[in-house]
Amino acid sequence: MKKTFKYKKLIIVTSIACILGAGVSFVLVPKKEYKGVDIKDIDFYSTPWGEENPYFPGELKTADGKMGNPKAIPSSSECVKCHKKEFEEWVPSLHSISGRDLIYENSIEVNVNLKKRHHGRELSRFCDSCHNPIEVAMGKNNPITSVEPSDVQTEGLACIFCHTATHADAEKGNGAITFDLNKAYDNLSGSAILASPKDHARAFGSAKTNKLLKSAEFCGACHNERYYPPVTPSTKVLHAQSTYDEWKSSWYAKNDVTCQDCHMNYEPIKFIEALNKDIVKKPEKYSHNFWGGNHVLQDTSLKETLLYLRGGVLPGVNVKEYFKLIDKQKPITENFLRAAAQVEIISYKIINNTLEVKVKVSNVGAGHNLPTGVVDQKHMWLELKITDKDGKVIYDNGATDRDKDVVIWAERFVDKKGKIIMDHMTFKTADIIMTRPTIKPRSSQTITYNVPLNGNVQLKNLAKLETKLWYKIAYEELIVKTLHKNIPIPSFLMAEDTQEVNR
Amino acid sequence: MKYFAQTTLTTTAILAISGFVYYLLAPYNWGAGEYIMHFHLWLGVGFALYFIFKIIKHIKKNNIKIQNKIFKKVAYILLAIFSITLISGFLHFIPYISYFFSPIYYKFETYDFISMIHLGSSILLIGLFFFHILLMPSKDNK
Repeated sequence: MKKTFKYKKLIIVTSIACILGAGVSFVLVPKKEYKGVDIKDIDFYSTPWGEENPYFPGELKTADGKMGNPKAIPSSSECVKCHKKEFEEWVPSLHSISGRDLIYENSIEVNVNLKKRHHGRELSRFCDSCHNPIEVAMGKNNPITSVEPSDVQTEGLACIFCHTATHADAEKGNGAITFDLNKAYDNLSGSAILASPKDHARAFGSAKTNKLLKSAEFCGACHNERYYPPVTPSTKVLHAQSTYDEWKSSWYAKNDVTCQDCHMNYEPIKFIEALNKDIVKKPEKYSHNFWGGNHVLQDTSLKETLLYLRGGVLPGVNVKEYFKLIDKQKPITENFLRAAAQVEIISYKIINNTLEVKVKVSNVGAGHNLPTGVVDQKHMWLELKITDKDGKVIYDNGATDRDKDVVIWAERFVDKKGKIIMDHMTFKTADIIMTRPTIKPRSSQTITYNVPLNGNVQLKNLAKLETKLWYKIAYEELIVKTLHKNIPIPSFLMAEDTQEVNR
Repeated sequence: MKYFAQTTLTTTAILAISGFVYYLLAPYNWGAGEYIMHFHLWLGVGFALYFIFKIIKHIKKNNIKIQNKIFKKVAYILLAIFSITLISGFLHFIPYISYFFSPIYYKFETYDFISMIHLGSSILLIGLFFFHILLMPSKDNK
């Protein structure tokens, strides 16, 4: 027993030494403490609509009611080491550049200047609540900027925005998301996180957050947008974007097909094809590609111009990698757009001295209306082209979106004087009118053309009827206004149909 | 084999204390907690290598001498618990070391499960270790 006793001594001495060592390290190593910033501590922060709502007119909120701490909140480039796949999916998406896209940024400046004597800069919190929420939460949207810059402020919908969200209100829209921004930092670093990720889960992966991320309501908090004073001089609430509402009343919502199921699907086209056969097989894993409709900001053939339009390269990626990743995203984006719509020439006949052509335009693959979003810029139009037996075009309506009487799906912003605003001057929009109702999910519209049969157009000469459904992400007026350049915006062919004329 | 018992006992004590300190106190000072975790992991790996190398000799040497059936049973259970503790500890070390090459990690639920096993088996191990020493035949001790 003598030796056992000796061991006891050894154990006691070792244990005491070890406890002392741990105690010393707890005393000597400084504590990591990150806290949210009190609104009073941000110099010159302007709250014209009350301190209790520092991000108004945006509906954004932080869980602790404090402003974000630029010293603590990590850039998405810090996530890349372990979440490379997710990072590389997110990089080419529009979510990564929602705040830095040059047209958007300049559009903000133009709108701010419109109201520079009426809290224009503070009003930009409305736009940035969805486009650049971290910047808003840190207090950057202020007439006098006193917040120090950090990478994450340039990353639009950075990883930490979604991965700290705790609540979303889609009915309210306008960025009605509460996010626990000030918990978004790791207490451990590098390899230690991988050995013990409990604190990482506290910061970024709570069960509450993960559940919310899978819901359509989460997307709806930004993809429902309402205009009202002080943002716009309107006398009523203007429904500028109702993508969530459109989904909510659709077959998709009734069958639990959410935004994520299509827009975050690794194989979105296959998924849409299955839906068309009424097969709903939800994906097991979701991608971070956020497939959408902006094919121009993924067009690498634009080379340096694309880099310029996307606001430069994101932190954590070099130019070569950036283009490679965008190149991967582009074909799926294009197929995604094509999967949404179908056109069909359903009939043609002569009535009196008129050729009547009926074209059916169907929304076959989108869980929201076509087009959707803020469609004062994004728009869709139909072309009908008639060719004679010599191959000569004898009728063409809709070759461009500027054609007279073109069939177009868009909304028109109107100012107080009733003048149409084509350059997205949100802050002077008094009303919104639709050119025609947008096409609901799983429904179609029949467009009737009445082509007068005289002069060039004679039935006996007709050979071919062609119809094309075109899509464009913006009007040239927006580019002129924001970039001071007259750059033509490419049109995208979503769907087409051809019929030979039988005489 | 001279210092096997001493080395095993002291290292186990250090590992147990550093592990419990990290588990229970790290949120009070994550910076210190992180140092303790690095220490715990590297010491754990070093000790595992030493233990694997020495334990075979230890068993071979003492298996014939020991007549006490209870002691033998406890010793083998102790060995099994030791293995579980070392394996579950190693499962924490794999993602840790992978960070320097190509990071791999498990689901949060998997981490929770492994941590629970590691914690449970180490508590059991401490108890059994004391039992092992107390039951140690005096002849063998000499």
